[in-house]
Amino acid sequence: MDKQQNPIATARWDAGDAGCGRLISGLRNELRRLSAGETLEVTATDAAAPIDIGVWCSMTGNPLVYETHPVYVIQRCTG
Amino acid sequence: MSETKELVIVHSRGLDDERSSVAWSIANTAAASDMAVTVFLVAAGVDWARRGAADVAHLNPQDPPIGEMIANFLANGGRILVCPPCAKVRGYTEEDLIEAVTIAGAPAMLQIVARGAGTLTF
Repeated sequence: MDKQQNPIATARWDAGDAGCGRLISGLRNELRRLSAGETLEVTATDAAAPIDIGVWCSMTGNPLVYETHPVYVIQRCTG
Repeated sequence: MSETKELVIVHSRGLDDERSSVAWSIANTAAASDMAVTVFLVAAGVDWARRGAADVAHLNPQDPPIGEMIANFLANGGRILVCPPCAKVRGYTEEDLIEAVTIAGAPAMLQIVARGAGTLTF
């Protein structure tokens, strides 16, 4: 599902086929490298990524600004 | 979601059980999701707190090695409690355990549950 046009991200991370805890822990670590408002483009081929990344973004308040599996763009929240 | 949610994971699986990898993976995911997570190690699960025990354990190739998951869990603010009699029956003293753990019994864990934490058991 496209949320909007794919923005040009501040950084990129290829998660490969990592899923579940490995995907989310890596995602958290990569996002922490960024400043608030910056964006991370994640490529995650795991079949559960569309659900897992969306739920994680909702839980943590980091907006998911673009998603077309396997590409996701997440903005680091200000909190 | 801005409020912090608490989670207690009671972990009794040892170094030869794939479910240990699942437990640490879920603990990692929760800690990386802004949850305040406490892992309460009991029975064979206490072995994960012994110095060096997790260094070479890799129970599911789809998960990171256990030592890496424990280190990451702690780096994300996770807390590990170790059941006192479960450690004692194995001959473990505080000196045998990794520094980041706290030897504390059921009351310390139940205090977190009593204030509304979610619970998972492995």
